[in-house]
Amino acid sequence: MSEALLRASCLTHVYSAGTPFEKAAVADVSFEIGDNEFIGVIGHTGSGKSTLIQSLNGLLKPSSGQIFYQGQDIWKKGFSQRELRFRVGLVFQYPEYQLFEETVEKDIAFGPKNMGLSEEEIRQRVEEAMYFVGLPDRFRTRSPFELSGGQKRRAAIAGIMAMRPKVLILDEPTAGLDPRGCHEILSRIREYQQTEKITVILVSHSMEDICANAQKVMVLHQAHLVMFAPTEEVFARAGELSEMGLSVPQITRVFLTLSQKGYDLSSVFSVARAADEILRKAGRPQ
Amino acid sequence: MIRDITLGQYFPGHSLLHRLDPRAKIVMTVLYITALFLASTIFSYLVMGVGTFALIFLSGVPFRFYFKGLRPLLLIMCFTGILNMFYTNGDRVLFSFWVFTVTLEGVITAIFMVARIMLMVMSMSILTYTTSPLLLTGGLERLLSPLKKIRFPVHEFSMMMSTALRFIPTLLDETEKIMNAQKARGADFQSGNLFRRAKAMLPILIPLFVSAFQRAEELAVAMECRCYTGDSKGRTRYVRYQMEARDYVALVCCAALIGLILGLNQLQLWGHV
Repeated sequence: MSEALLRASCLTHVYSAGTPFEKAAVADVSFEIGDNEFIGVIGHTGSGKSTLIQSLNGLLKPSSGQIFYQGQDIWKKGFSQRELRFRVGLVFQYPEYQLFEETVEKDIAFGPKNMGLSEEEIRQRVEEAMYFVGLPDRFRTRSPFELSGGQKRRAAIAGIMAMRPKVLILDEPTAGLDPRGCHEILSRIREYQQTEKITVILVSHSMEDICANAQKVMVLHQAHLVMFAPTEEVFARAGELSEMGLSVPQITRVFLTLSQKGYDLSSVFSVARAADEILRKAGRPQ
Repeated sequence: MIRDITLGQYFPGHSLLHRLDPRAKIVMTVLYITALFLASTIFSYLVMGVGTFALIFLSGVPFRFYFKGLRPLLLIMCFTGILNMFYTNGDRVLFSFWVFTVTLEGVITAIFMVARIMLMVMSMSILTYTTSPLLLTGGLERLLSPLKKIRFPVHEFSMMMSTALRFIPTLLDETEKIMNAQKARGADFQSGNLFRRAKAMLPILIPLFVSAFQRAEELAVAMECRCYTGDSKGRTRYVRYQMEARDYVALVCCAALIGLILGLNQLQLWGHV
């Protein structure tokens, strides 16, 4: 069997070890992530999502357990964490805070430049990344500080995309954006994932966003990985999710209530699927 | 690395030191440091050392936080120690090489100087660890209020100080966040010569400044929304300071300490050191 793209084995991360404030942020988490997947990560605030994703690109060293990138232990001697970060791109929450260059172009080029690429290659990658996030070419020479909130966010995401990572991790990329901006950024990311055949890990509080995009969902609860399964299976366990303080998409809730009232409906998690289900019940062809 | 900076941090608690009046504590710290600088013999240093450790014990804050606070000063302490060792004149030569001569007096002065810095930082840490920043600046404002007569902006000064103290942890958190974000883009802060490393700090400093200014503006607007106009007339205070018997006792103890140190300085062990 070929090695998974990313594999975590018994990953544990303990903060302030050996003090009264000791707290496990991630406890005994194991999973495998393959090529060209779209994975959603959900969990309550403080469930260990941020710690987990920062472990995946080698920013945090786990207290115990290992992470393998294409079969190689990322904390083995001689493995460069800096190289890993070009392969596993991480977009932090509110990434617009990382913008610092004079022009959007230069800022997006920061990552590729650190990779030591040629001018020509960098130029090409910047152009491509700007296209993928939907920033028009005229923004290239503008200062990133002149942009609107949503545009800044795109520029920051482009900065990671320009490194052409094999895995793109996004921590709440739509936090604080208006619904239209959210939808656009997510569909751009989706498109990027499919064209470039990369793996995307999306952390989000919006169950609708996760449902609409992810093929598989990871559920973190109190530092433990409690579920890691295809999206339909995870949201079919709505009861367990709400016990963990997580919500399910609105449409799923509607259907659950309907089936509790005696209607024979299967669990759905998107409006399109809901429509199909109703049509099926009504006995009409889809 | 950033987490090592503990100066200005506060550890909530209910020890005797936590409960003392902030004004008393500030004056006590000044008296204590005065005593420390007056100390000139082994006996007086011993008393200061024992006193400091007793106070640390009283503060209820774990010991290692005091040592952590010393870590950033390690370089300065080493530097002071070495300079004093080589540049103190004396007649009891221990050994000498090339142009350097190390004398017994030099070694003793070096130890005293390093001990002085250590004890000074520790005693200031005791103050900040046991007094919340708000009480600290409030106390300072009261102590300095006589200066208002000569039009010194005491209130503005203490407001600036408490704001600055309040934002130290916030800015540290932010620095770490930005650093991680740039590291995720392959920024390298460790390798290269001094010039390259200084240049590598730009991707951290620029976003940090931008957000600090934004934060300052937001804070100013929030304060104005709550009708803050500085030290205007009729402004009342929520926290009232009340000196109690224990505060006076503590102050007297500190004053007595200066007397004790002056007395002990007369006791000499090795000639004039």
